[in-house]
Amino acid sequence: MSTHDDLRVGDEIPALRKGPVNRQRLVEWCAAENDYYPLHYDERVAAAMGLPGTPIQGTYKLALMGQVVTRWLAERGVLLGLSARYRGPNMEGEVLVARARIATIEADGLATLEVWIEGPGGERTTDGIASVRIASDAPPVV
Amino acid sequence: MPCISVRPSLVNAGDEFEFIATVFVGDRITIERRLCEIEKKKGRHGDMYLLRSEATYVNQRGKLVARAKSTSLRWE
Repeated sequence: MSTHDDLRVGDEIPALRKGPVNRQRLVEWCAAENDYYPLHYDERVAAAMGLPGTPIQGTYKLALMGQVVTRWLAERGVLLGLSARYRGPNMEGEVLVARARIATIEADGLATLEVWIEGPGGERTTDGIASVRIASDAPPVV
Repeated sequence: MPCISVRPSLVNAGDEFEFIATVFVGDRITIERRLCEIEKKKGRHGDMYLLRSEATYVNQRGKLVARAKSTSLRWE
């Protein structure tokens, strides 16, 4: 039996909860990206854009979407690709939940997952697709 | 009222990464980003511009390790 026989299209993988994402995290993320666009740490700039607070960087959410998938894969596979569409902002102080569900799976272990971010009210603010390869000699993914 | 030096007029709309080869500690990665397309859009409050760019990530041996596409939205 190949190791991905136990996976089914539509299966949801364990969610990843992160936060509250405070301003220090947002500034650290600026440093990690070397992108100090002040929208993410100066509420005057955010207010000028009509936002109620400083928004969490889109790429921070992309990173969580990668993390939920790689944590599930562990040593049993690799992440080949990841996309995200930032449909709505999440604000400083929010707890984010990254979720993913198996969308396609091929006999050779190539699979795609629908991945998304939910805000505190369960609203879906970001969605994307992860492409993975599950190794054929790997232990089963649980 | 303190003055705001940067007028915010840019948001990140989407990212797409393709991971091609393993990156190791100590690697030196060179990133090149190219602006590919600017599309003018009619927004509710005036003209908006959709900017599409592509980036390549190349290691010290000249091997392409990742590729990325990015979309951002800009306005006046």
